[in-house]
Amino acid sequence: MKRLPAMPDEWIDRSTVVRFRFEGSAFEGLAGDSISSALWAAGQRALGRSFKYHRVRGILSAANHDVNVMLQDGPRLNTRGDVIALRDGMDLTAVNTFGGVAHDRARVLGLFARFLPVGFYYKAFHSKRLFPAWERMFRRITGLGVLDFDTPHVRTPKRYDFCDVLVIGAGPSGLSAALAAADAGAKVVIVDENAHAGGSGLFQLGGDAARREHTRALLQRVTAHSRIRLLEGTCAGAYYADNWVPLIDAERMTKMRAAAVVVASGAFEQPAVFRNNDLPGVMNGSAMQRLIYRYAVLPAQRSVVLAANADGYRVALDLLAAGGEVAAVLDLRADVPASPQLDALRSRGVELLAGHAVYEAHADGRGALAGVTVCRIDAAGKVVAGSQRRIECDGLAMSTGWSPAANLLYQAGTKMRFDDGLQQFVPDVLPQGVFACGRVNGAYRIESRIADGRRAGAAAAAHTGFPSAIDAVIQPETESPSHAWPIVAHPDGKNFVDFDEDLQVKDFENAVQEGYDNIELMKRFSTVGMGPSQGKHSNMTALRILARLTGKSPQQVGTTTARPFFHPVPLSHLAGRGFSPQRQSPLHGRHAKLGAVFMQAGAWERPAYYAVEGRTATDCVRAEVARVRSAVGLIDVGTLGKLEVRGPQAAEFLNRVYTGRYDNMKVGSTRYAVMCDDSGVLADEGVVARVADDVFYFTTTSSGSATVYRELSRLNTEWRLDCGLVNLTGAYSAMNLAGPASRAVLATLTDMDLSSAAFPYLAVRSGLVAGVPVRMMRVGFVGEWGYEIHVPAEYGPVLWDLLMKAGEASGIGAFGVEAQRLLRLEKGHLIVSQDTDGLTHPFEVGMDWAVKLDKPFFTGQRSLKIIRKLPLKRKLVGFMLPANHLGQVPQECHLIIGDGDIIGRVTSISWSPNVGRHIGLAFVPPEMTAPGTALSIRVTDGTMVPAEVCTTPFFDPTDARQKEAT
Amino acid sequence: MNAVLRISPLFDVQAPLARDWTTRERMQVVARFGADEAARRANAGIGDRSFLQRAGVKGAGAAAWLNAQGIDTPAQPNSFLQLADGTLVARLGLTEYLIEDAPGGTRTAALMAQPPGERVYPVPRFDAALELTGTQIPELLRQTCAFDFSTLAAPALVMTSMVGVGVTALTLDSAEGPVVRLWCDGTWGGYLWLTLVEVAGDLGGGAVGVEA
Amino acid sequence: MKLMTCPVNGTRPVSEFVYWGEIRPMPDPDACSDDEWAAYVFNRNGAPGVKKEWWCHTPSNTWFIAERDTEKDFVLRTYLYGDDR
Repeated sequence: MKRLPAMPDEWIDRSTVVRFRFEGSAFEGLAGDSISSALWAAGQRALGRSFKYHRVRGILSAANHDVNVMLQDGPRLNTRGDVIALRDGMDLTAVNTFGGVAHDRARVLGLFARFLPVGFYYKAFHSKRLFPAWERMFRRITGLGVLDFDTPHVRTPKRYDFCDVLVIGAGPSGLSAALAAADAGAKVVIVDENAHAGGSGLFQLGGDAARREHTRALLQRVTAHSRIRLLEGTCAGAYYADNWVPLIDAERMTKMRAAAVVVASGAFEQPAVFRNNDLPGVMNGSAMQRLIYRYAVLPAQRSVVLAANADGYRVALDLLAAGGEVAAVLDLRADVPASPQLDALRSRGVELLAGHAVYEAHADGRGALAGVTVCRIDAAGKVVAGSQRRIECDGLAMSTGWSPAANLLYQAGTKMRFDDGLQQFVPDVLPQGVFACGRVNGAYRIESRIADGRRAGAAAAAHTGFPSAIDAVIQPETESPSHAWPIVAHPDGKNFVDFDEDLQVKDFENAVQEGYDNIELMKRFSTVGMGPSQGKHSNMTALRILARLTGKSPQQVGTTTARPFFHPVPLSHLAGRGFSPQRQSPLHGRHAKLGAVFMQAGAWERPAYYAVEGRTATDCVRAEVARVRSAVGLIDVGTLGKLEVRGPQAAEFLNRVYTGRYDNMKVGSTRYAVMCDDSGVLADEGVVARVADDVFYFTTTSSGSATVYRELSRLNTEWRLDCGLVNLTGAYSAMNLAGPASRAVLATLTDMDLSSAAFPYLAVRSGLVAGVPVRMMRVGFVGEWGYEIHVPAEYGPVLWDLLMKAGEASGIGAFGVEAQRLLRLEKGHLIVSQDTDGLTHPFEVGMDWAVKLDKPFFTGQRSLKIIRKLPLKRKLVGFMLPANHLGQVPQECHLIIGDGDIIGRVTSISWSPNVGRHIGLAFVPPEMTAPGTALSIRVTDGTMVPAEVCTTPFFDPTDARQKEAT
Repeated sequence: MNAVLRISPLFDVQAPLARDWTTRERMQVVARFGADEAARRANAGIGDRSFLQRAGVKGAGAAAWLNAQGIDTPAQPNSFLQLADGTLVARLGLTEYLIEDAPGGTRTAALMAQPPGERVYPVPRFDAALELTGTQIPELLRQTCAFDFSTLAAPALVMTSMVGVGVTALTLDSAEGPVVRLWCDGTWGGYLWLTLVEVAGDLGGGAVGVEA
Repeated sequence: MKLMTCPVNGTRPVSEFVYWGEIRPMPDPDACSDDEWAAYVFNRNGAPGVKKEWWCHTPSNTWFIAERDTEKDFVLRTYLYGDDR
């Protein structure tokens, strides 16, 4: 492994050798190397195989703007060699090969290239008969790695962060912007995706070490500044609304909220296009400079440089300064402006060929670059016949143009315009709070970049409330940094535009010929820019080709947009800890101790049933039901929404929001309450208790509590009735003691008068039970004598324990949600959103009695008046399956079929031990509601199950259970 | 009723982790979770103050009613003050108040015994109340809440969302440095406590008892 | 993640809020025609432009009005109901 002498800002640590494996062979690199730089330093030239044709690939950008070097490290996928740091013990293989990089069997696909034109898969594989086979083939051939299903599940905690000004990119313009903003008083965070800040300011040197000083001085001031935080190895992954930027580093995602964002992200070098421009050894000029200055690696012994601007000349000088040979510098331009770089090269005896291009690159026996054929080009960029000439070299530096790294600007909604002079898109209209500087803003000379950064940083700070007077004069560029047509045609093709997708120039010609001549269609048909690097190295070139093919200007062609994320982000970063808010009753521990099997009911965890050793779930539920009907059971109903409205207009408020009347309730009574929305559809239901003249305590469904409270709050904000609403859902615990023995059990704990004269059915009473203050209601949901006991949550568990103890002699047991659902079904009670849907109104479910249309006003009243006059479309009825029914039992949502049509559906169904048959509720047409009407229910596999309509309640139709035994 | 034991909203989630229990204000509280409580408290201690007595009241008439009972109320919305006897009076938004007794205090009991006046609506509360101490608490807050706590200084308080549940938060000075007090609905409290204890654990902290 | 400013609690991420919809005056339910009533119940104004909307800051249950330009995705101001002087 040979390295250049120490570079002043090198990233490598020469004292630490790192051992790793690549494609089964052992290699050595240095700490601080990227995988690509270590392999290149070791002389490895074949680093990967391309996606479609499986051509040998080496380094192209050395910056993760392409994925030539895409590896798998054990189970770790998406290991991008250009930017992943080398680690001891890495075991790397190139993805997408069959038999390894050296002997990839799939390289034979290259021979069939004629039959694999752009979009070939749309035409070749559409036969349905063959498609499963094609799909299997594609899955095998087109993967970018092999999943190991035993990969450990990693969660990395996300965090939030805040600053005044976020600067994205710590190259010369970004560093300058950060300083200007911080000097004005703003708190600045500056991020750079590279391991070390400085950007191109520390490698585009042209052999002139003094050129670094611009950037080094800025960097020193930045690290010393008390109001600047510099985060290296941190990528700004996307731009979301209101300056919300995810910062991705090796460990986690930080969600940064900035008051202003400065995008100083630089530009992507675009490879020139000529035949075999993908051979290992052909690379971007900036890739060579990164290798030299960051990793002290000489990219090639003997190079040819293809230039079209000062950047290319600096590449040549950097190669010479590193001890490499430069056989020739080609310039696409016929007239090359004078410059110190030109003079320096002349004085070193380098051959300078103006008006020349590379015609073709040639490989040696190993598939790496051995030489290039250069040619003259005319003013239109066409090859001058007969001017070809071969030059031997093992390196070809392409430095013909740039594309702005404007991804985050696009995401922020920036309007870009094409600048003909710069041959680049630049920001035209930036959104509020977003600023751009440096090369992404079209400033290329180092002094311009720094001045532009000062301007943008000051403007950003001013936007966040820290004005300053900064006068930044930015000189216009004297030459275009990008050439308009760095593309050379060749009859045999293989002149690549998009290296991720193996797209050559003729693929674009074919796409336009097929009619995909608009940038969005071109992208999707050809897949240009849709590979892992998402067009970083290819989009501008593709745009130029499309413009020329369609006779439009780049401005007219336009660009596609960029979407999050800028670079790949591991799913573990996105998953974070995974917060799942969970609501629990104060009695939760009691349920757990009793063997509860929990279920999710919205945000709550509730006991579905209580498990008993040796018993099935169904038997447990049936036993709980039996206990409630024959003795006494206790259920936690604390998940109910519990609200209180208090004040002189409390009754008026309830009259307006519910369909019933509440102003005429006696204190101490309860009344069932139905809530409809504006359209008359059932929205919620509960029980209203009048505990004082001006105090009503009312319940909502468990899932509705938050939304009902919120909406009622909104209504009173609008109506301003003299009353106040309080949400007691979490502050109160509630339990239902139900069964024939319930009164006897309760009586042992309280002095309250529980006689039916003093405490009739549907009454509400307050008092003390075992010293605990309670509010109790006699309600009928499960159809047994019982008490719904509401108590401050902190006393809930104590009361539960006391009731369970007091009930021991009577055989008390806890019962859960499943038992409760069966008990209420036996009484024919509906559950909103189980037995009702988004269109159900009260008249469809037999709740006419609850709707007082003669009230002055209530929500939904007018709609119900309209609906009342229309014929009913369906009605909810009870039904039963035949006694001794064998065979399949329908489930909720199974359909009722009549004359081959859907005429209704089942909403609830269960085996009833007390009735001895399967019972349920269903929607049926109004003409089929008579008891005894036959129904046909279709189960999943098409079998029809017979049923018949019956009256409800199925059990205790006269509510005898609520009356004193005679 | 004086003899009846109050349950903490955090009892069920703390029981598996607690080492010793004690009783404060008739509520069972964890005295100690483990051996290294001092270190946890110094890094990111999640302490439990649910046992303190609390009362809530809201309405257009609430401020005047409280003042008439000798309880001063903060002039600014979303701010708090402490009375001479240590009672905390927090103004939540415009017209809602949370009153929290100092240990052993009796203000809230007296308050709830009073009949509410006109436009005064009592708000019974069952809060999980936490106290966060330690050098890593700012980082813990960064990992759990999108509100910038560096902008929160007494006497301001904030109502925001933390790990997906609504919380009220304020910072107080104490002998050991700044302390963050949190309140949330007790039925979400178990989840909040478990989540914060897990995050604190990653930062060298964790649950701390009252006798740590 | 967009920001929204509650008039009482300040500027927060929009995830702390619930959007109810545009303020729509209710026609007199006793006097209007069935068609007018149905339009109120089922139709919504889909045109882009500045709309006055009900929003709720859920951690504090604060309902307020936001004037929002739905074309430019920009909130002009927020205030408590009745405070729009």
